[in-house]
Amino acid sequence: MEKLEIVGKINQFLVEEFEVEPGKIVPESNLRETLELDSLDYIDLVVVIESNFGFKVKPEDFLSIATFQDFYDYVERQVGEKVSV
Amino acid sequence: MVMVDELVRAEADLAVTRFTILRDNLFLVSNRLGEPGLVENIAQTIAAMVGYNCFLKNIPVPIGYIAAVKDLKIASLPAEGSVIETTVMITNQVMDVTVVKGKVEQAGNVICSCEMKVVAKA
Repeated sequence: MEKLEIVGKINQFLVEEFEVEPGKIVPESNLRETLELDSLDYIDLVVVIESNFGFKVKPEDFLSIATFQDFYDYVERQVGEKVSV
Repeated sequence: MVMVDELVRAEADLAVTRFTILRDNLFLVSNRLGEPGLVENIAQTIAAMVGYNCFLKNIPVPIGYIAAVKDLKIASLPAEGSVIETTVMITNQVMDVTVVKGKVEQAGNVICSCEMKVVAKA
């Protein structure tokens, strides 16, 4: 899966699931603050990632994700690892 | 108040219960089961599924809490004396949180559905 395709897919489900305006999704913006995520929203985020990309998310993975760019990079790495297995 | 009469079907991640709405039900409003009653019925169906599976494994039953109710849709409120059948299915498990889809049917029609997040603590 190409990076642009991954980013497009992520942005699409963030808009649908978290009702964020597409214009607010900027790579360097803070993910948690922009989406106003609480602890239960993170559960929804894990569920949509797993259903859209088919890999298992470890909750501790979010510790290293601050911005949307971090999030895109994380998903891209995981998708790459899934393909190479 | 117990809101489940009968566990009709139980698997590791799916359960079906049946319940007759009697006159003394706490959730009756104008002779109909109110919205909180339907949500409670779904929650107790989840509890019945978890409890039954723990019983089979001979392990302690955890205490469960409703953490969130999402996409709640209610088409109608069942009348006193009617029988409702409730199906729950675990769709995901993230740490201590279990994500469950639930629906309540009356006479074959879905009258309520939602996604529920339940936190279980042993």
